[in-house]
Amino acid sequence: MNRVRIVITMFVLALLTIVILGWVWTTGHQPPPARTASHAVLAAAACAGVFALVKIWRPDPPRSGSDR
Amino acid sequence: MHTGSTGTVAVDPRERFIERLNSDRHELALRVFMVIVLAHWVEHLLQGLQIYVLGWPPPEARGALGLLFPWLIKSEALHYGYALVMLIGLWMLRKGFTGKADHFWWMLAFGIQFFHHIEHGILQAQAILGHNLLGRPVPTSLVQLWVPRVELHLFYNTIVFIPMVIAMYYHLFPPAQEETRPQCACALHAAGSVSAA
Repeated sequence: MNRVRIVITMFVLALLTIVILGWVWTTGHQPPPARTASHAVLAAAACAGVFALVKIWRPDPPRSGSDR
Repeated sequence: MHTGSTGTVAVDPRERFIERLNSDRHELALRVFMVIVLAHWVEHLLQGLQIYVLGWPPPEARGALGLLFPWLIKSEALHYGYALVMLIGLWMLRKGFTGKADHFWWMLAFGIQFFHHIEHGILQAQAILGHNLLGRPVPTSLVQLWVPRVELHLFYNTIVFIPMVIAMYYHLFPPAQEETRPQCACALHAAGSVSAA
């Protein structure tokens, strides 16, 4: 189970990295209305990623068993 | 489909194919589907790196495939085709998600992908007709009227993929309180499973 969780976590961390880089880049390269819109969707994407992490790592896990 | 003369039951090959995809071939089908989805993700993440880290102008940032085949990535048909493949894959593999939690998240991903596919359909229609929405210089989807394309599609792909991942997580590890009737062998350990009658 933890192996699957770690793989998902690695992906989400890569996604969050791109989102943060995107936030920084759009701040400096896009005009205000587009920048605000980009920030909104990037923030929502980050929230979705964090939500997935909370969902899979929360302390009330599925019934335990052996890892594959 | 029934064959009345012999009394035997002949199953439509298409139905049989879908049935197998959602039972003994579900794990394989999901693996293949994930390879396609992750390859698409690599392209988007690479595009993000090209723009945000390497400082390439957005029209020049075409991921890996676009470096080799620039025409390919400029083609709205390719983007629409992928959105359609995603939509069909999510629909075809849905019946294998027999639990409450995994089915909910999978169908949520399907619903969001449906909208994403409509957005690509609008782009594809403009490419075919040669007229862009509101006289824009490039094909423009509805939400793209407000949000730049790269960030918008990073967002779309995320909000489709996250419910997919959660669905597959619950598919592999069914919640303890949930009684499932698995048709496939995907679950790494069955929780509260009820053998199918």
